[in-house]
Amino acid sequence: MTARISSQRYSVSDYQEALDLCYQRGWTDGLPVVPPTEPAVRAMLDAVGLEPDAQIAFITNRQVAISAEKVAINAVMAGCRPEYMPVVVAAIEGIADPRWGYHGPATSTGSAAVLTIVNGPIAQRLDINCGDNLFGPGWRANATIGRAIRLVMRNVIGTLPGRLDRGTFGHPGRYTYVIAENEAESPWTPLHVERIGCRPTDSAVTVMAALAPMQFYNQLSATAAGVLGTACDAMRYPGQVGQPNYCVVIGGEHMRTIAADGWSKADIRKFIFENTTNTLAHLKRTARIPGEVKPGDETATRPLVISPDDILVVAAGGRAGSFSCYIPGWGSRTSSEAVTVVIKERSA
Amino acid sequence: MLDGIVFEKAGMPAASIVTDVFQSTGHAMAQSWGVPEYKFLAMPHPIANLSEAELDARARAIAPEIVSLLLKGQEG
Amino acid sequence: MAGFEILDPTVEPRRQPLTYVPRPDSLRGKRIGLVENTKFNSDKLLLKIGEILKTEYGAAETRMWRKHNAGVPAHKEILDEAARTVDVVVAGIGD
Repeated sequence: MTARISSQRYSVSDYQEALDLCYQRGWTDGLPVVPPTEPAVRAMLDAVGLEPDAQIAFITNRQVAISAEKVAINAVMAGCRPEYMPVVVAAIEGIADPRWGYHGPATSTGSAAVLTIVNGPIAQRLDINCGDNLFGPGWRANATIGRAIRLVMRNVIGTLPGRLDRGTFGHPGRYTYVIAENEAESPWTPLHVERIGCRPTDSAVTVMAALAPMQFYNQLSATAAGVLGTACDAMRYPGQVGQPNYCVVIGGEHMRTIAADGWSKADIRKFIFENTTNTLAHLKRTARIPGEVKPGDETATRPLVISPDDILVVAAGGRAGSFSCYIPGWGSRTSSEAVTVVIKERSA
Repeated sequence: MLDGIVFEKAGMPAASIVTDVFQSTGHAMAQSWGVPEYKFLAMPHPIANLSEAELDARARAIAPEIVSLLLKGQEG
Repeated sequence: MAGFEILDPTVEPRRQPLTYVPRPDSLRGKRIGLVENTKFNSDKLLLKIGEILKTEYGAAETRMWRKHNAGVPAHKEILDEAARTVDVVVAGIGD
């Protein structure tokens, strides 16, 4: 690959000067970055077989074209290894998809982050964590893939706090928010197979505009309905009501309990959908929706999401601990929805 | 804010209104669209929890600015 | 360590020419399009503004459209209908 890299170049005398420059220019998320040199950027591009000027995505509502070169530069800065690049590219394609609706979740005061769920063989190959300390630190792939996505949002798409990122609170998932599904131990159909009919041997990434994860505890139940009853009680009230998606991440202990009852992911979705409705009266009394409480509102109900399929069920997290978690989506069904994109790998 | 640009491109004079806390975001959006000088109007934030009387007052206060932007346009 | 070069990770927005539509001299007899962004009260406020434009500035009528959501610009159906049925547009309220 010899096509020219057209980005402006800055000469620096050493690492410290490179780092200072990146900070001065506002190119970092606050953490130090890896200096994006041409050889490192070339290695990123080679890993996906793309020319520097290849367009990966276009964000219509921002009129921004995202080139392979800019994604590669930001992936280097984030600390990615070149073999992570196909995952980063697929995630960028996902958030640029009109169904994801970039401008809303990226800009809104509602503070969504890009929950990125990796499925398929690439997850194990890249050592993307799907187990202990799922959302926590310690894995280079989880830490840097999500960071690369955020740096592209910041540096290429202009998602800067106070300007085109108006998150009132943000949340730590905005540094990185990448997990894999524990397909090796899961008794269930993987997320990408369910959502877009991938083969299990395909790899894919699912991006969801997401708030922070909330865990719930149930050590006492030995049944699927018992465990998920706790989930429903925890999920029913939080959030803004009207979310397009929820992601439910089932930890190891709960996974075994639910599977022992023979429940599929579809059963889980149906149960949660049916047991998380709120009455209109409650939603009005708590100012979640406008209007005075009217006759009939005490019995009229509203589901948490429009369809059971809007609940993403993922098997992941540590093998020990009577916890699972749920993640509310951002906005409403008309403004953003989770998108699953196949990861294109170069045939080795 | 973007609506104004989109209508202008579609051949209709337009005035876009944001609330004041989103002015910086409106400017950044205009910049992203390649028209950094694009003018739009701002009124006090917020809107959602105002009474009828307060909404009336907001409408009255902004109306002359809307008329001016619609008639004098971006050059005014 | 010898000196080296680093690459700029950012993109500069490209300026786009925008020719502004000729403006009318007054709103007298003009049809006003109101485009609301789905945020609570945005429709009410735009209707109030529309009333003032009619009673005090002589606008002939108002017509309101609702966007799909606040994060996208007015969609094609709105643009097409507005082009046929109104002379000027007021959009808001929110970013």
